[in-house]
Amino acid sequence: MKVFENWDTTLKIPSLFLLMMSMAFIRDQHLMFLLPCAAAVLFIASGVRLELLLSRLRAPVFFLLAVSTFLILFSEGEIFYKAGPFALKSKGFILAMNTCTRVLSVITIGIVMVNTTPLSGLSVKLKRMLIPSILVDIGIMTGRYIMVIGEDYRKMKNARKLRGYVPGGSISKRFRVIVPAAATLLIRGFQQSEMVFHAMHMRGYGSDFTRNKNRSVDNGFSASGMIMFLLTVTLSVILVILEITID
Amino acid sequence: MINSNPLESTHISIKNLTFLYPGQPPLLEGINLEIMPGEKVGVIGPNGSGKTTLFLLLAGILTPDSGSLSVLNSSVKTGSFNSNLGFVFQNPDDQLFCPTVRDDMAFGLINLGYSRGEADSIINRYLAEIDMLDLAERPPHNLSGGEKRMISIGGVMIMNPAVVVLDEPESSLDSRARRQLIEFLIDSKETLLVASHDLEFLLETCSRTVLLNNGVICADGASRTVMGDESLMNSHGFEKPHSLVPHVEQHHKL
Repeated sequence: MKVFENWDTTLKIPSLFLLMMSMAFIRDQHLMFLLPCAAAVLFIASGVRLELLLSRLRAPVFFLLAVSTFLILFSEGEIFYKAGPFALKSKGFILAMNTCTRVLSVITIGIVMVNTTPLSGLSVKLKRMLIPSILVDIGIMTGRYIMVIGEDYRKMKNARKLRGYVPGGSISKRFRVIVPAAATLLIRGFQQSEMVFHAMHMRGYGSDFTRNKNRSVDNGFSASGMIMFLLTVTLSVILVILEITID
Repeated sequence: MINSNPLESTHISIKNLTFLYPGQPPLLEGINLEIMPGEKVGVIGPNGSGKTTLFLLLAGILTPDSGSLSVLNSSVKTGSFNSNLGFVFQNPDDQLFCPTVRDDMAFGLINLGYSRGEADSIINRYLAEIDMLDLAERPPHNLSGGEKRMISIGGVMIMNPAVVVLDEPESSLDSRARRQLIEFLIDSKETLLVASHDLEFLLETCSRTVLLNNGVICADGASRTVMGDESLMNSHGFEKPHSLVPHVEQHHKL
């Protein structure tokens, strides 16, 4: 959606980050329903595809399922269902629900933030927010670096299988395979990320070059971006105030 | 050697260039090369002859041990961005890193100070020209080899550099993508420096060829003359391109 595209990065990142922090701050279960509502509104307004959100949520959902199972089974409190050796606790159930709601809402906002912020020009904007340039460069390169490692690992696994390697066996056998593979992956990843960095640099990354030296750097914020900023900050503040006053 | 007109300023000028990797003999030694505006020059040489190193030196990624390099009369400074020089890497995956093709192509333009709107209209024009407008919102890592190559070249070309250096641009292309690339390079107005092992590709795209071997320029001249010299080509481990072999007897199977 246009409003998200026009929302200047220097306003978008801090305001959405503030909203995520305030969501993480919420403990009261009466306020919990507000979190998925706010996340859903922002997600719909952002125009990010549902399939993309679902694919990105896959890994966190598995983690949350494990945490929830642990909480429901092992927390203290009243038993509301018993099946053989397993006793499900009401307190753990509420705790698990709250954790899932909070984490999924925060991650959804994070996904919206990342997927509506174009990489082009992001480094300049982040540096303008007084974030040290070395941290910005590392952050941007990490994304690519992780992708490189993931892709190479997949290829390496297939190549191992095609040469008759059967996964499993003793720890020492696995160790002998995993350690050299990890070292190779790191070296290859480093080499390619270095080439990526050169390619970025060759296209003007990190330079203060502009085709027109008189062209002023756009510091103006669009009205819609400003409204979004104010709405998000207000929502964050309201959530924190409600949490404090209800306590 | 091709004699350049002294009244015309060069686009690329390399003088007495020497480069060596630490602990190794010189990879390039006393290289002299002048390339005029609009010239399309192919660089051939066996693996390890220093083609890519020469390009990395021109791009300011490596520092020469001695000698000088200049692009459009301004000397190359290591680590500084030169908007007059575009570099297309051998592996397109080294160049494509943004979430979508459009973002990736906009990367250089935004760094040059173009607004997003201006960048989008330039990108649309380029993609329409190469018949790939439908790829604009696709993630680059999902593209075919030929598409990746054209997008990585486009990301450099739309920045409008006067000189474009392409390192083995035809590698891993199928015949259709290769033909598309040949036509694209023939039509381009930029000064091109192209390294390749595909001699037929260079014959079609470059009017001049430089043969690099053992750290020195062994031949420099019109592509048909350099590649047509069978003894020269054989002595450097190449075969004379088939299209330059006189067909006295019909030996193609019909």
